[in-house]
Amino acid sequence: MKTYVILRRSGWSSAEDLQSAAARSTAEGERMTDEVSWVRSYVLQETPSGLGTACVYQASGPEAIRRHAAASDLPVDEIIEVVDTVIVRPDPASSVA
Amino acid sequence: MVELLEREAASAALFGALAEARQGSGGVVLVAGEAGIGKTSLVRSFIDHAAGIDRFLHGGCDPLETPRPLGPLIDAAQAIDRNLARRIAAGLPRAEAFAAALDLIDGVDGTTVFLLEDLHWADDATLDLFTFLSRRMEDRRALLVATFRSDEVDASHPLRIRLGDADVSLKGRLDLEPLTAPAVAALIGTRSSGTSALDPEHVHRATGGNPFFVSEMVAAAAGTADTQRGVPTTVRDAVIARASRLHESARDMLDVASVVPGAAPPWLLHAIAASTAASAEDGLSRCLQLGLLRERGDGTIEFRHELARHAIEESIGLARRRQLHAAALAAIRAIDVIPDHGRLAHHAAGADDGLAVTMHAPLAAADAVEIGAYREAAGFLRSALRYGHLIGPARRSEIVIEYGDVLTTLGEYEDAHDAYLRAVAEAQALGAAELQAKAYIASGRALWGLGRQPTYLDHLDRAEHLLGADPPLTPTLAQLQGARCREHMLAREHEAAEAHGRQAMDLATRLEDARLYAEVAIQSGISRCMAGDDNGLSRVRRGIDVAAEQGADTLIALGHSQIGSGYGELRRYDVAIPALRDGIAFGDARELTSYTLYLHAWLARCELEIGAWEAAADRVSALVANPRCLGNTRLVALVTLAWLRSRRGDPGVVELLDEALDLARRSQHVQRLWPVAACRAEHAWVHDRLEDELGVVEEAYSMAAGIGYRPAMEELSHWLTLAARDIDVESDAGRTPFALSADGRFAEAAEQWRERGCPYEEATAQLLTGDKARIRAAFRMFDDLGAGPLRIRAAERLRALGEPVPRGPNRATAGNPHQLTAREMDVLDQIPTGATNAEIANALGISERTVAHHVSRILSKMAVKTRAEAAVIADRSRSS
Repeated sequence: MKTYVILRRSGWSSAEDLQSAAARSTAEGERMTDEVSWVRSYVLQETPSGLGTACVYQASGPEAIRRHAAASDLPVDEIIEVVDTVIVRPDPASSVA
Repeated sequence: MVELLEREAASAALFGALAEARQGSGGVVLVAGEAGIGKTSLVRSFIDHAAGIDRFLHGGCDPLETPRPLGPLIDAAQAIDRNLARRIAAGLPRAEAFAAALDLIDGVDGTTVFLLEDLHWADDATLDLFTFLSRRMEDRRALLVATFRSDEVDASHPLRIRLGDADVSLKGRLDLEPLTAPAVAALIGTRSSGTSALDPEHVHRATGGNPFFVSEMVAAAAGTADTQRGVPTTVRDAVIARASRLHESARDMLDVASVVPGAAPPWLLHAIAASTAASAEDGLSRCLQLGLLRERGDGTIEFRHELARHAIEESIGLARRRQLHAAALAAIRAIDVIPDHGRLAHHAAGADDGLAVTMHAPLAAADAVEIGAYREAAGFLRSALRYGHLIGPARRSEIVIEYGDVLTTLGEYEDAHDAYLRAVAEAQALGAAELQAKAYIASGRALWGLGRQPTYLDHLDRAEHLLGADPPLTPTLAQLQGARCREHMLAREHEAAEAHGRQAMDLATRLEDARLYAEVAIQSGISRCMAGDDNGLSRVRRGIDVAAEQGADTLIALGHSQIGSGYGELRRYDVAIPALRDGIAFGDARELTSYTLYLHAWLARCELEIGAWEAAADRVSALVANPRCLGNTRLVALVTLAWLRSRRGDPGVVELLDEALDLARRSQHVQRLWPVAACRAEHAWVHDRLEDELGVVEEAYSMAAGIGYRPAMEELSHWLTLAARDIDVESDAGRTPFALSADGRFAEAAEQWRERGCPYEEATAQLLTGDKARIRAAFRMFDDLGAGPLRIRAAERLRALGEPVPRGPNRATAGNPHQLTAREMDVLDQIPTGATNAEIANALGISERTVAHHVSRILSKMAVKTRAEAAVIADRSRSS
């Protein structure tokens, strides 16, 4: 499995929308444990309104990521491969999924 | 009933799987472990105790050097339908045999359990049957239980690859562990009536917790007063120790039984015993009584465990062993109506009866080839060649050529090539020119596999020379013409392919060789199609029909495959896609995996090109991950996946294309290199570095130009033109829209791409026109496809032209074609009812002014002027 950053821009109009999306994502992820593994996400404030996410996943390939997204009704704008992780400071306040 | 120790979890898993199967959710359970660990005991106990098994099918694999193809299926069928068993043994074609296996499973109103034992000894056809059934258990009230020795299934074992197949509905894999010391103690307690002098700790250490070994040790120690006796250190010693204390008649019978692998019918044991002066009847009942041999449900006799049989057989002196095998051979020959050539060859080898081996082994090989058990066929032929000195030289050369053919089918090209060269040398020594020619011609597929076309063309020239200036009408001559036709087809040299094809078909007709006729019809036919003449298609189909009459599965498969890949290359999806689907269905019914994988690769490529990207993604990513996807199949899959990723803007393109380039360069054929070059060019162009790939593009272009293959030349010219290279293209005489775009005629190219059904190429051509309306159309098409990079580029072009970029779908409104917001949809719903703004406002609880505002936005988004028009469109899309 490789690590990827997935950008999902302006995918949702509200936090509730995003929460149900997260639930769907988890449920679908359970069905594909050897193909995708959701690591973490940053929720983005989009302009003029709406929310997006930058997600970090481990996956067998970009096709698995897209398949998971289609099954969970999540958008995929860009998939970028991660070759190294550099942690300088711990993340600021976060909500655990 | 044997009480099992420490097998509760495994038993529970089996019972659980059975319960699910009874509910209609069937599957496969694998039971693995070292020899003697108790796999059979576990499964037998399960079968005996389970409720709700309405049909039990049982087939086992035997440790024959070359097993009988589909032996276990024959065994299983025997108990239900003797006629069917006989037909399979006589050589039922694969598709029917596999279908019959499914019928056996389905043939009862209830739940079926099919037990396949010792799969590590299975022949290729049985392994394919196992995979075939495994894929189909999911919605059946059936359970397939397969046992195998895990220590004999290493990474290179054919079973291992099949076990990795993701399609199988695996309910569980039970790896049986050795017994713990307390369990060993308990086993000793139950096996030895009364006290045993054996120290459980010692036994546990010596046997490693292997249940069979433990019980043999206990039996060996039993009945001896001598408690100081040395404990056997191996299973073999334990078995032999036990046997050594037997009455002579029992020992004789044990020896007799040991030379027959698997289970033997009593009559056979008696026959062997009689002709080797062993005292039979008495011996057999003693062995049964002592539990050294046991009787199966069908009356045959077997050792309690294969380990024991093996140990006994090994311990018999060589001369006596030969004698016993010879007796077995004679006895089976005398009785068997449908000879099991494999078994006869086995005994013949054991008897060192060379003549018998050379008689039966090649026949066994032929049977194996018919059913597609190629590894077994190779084994039989090797066996025959070991006694090659007893075979007449001409016949021997023929067998060597057959051996080469089988190795080629197995993909062992180096060894196959060696075999062919050996045949050539032997024929040369004999001065047999035609035989030599035959070997040279046969070497083709192996050399193709090794990617050494020039050598093969040289071989064909030599063959032609050997046949002489005015060759007589022989099959070899026909094969030569057929081979030339095929080579020219592969090189896309269509006129030459047609010329040789006609000759070959004529010769084949005169020789009444229907199979050769079929093969040449297919190859020459598709060659015509590739040259642009659809009339070739009817010739290919004729070839398939003739192949079907001959029951030649591999040729039928070849036909579908050539139509699918040939028309796929021509981007004629109307013909290609149905042919590929038909071929896949044909292959699935017969578990012809390497063939279906090739078709899946081409189908994925077609799906990519028609814009069905999700389907293509699913198909091709599974392929690239499949260890059996190799060679040309892998090449097609790699390029398809690379194209998909590149067009979507996804990572992981470069490594695929580098591997693909490497693979493509191994052959000398333009159709391997051309797609790789085109894909590399496209990817580079999207990232503004087309210059980097010009070398490869030019290389491919000159290969294509060398033989005048227009489809390749045109696509590559398109990239050369975009790189501002001067290239002469006869765009009016073009075979593909690439000719038009290479000449700068992008609008026309776009139109043709639309007709062909290639949305990405169409959109790209639109983008290249520079016209803002067309670029806007291109933007929408890229957006629909999910083609990130070119969508961005189209947006940039629009901005540069001062045009507004169509708003990307507001995701809250995604899924509706005019991208209305939720509130706008509410209003739209009200419009067909003829409601006024005031009435709508009332119904939705909003102000009239807001409604008017929404209506005006709706009309604008839908690009209509009146509410009536909006209503009509809404209605239409609602009912579609």
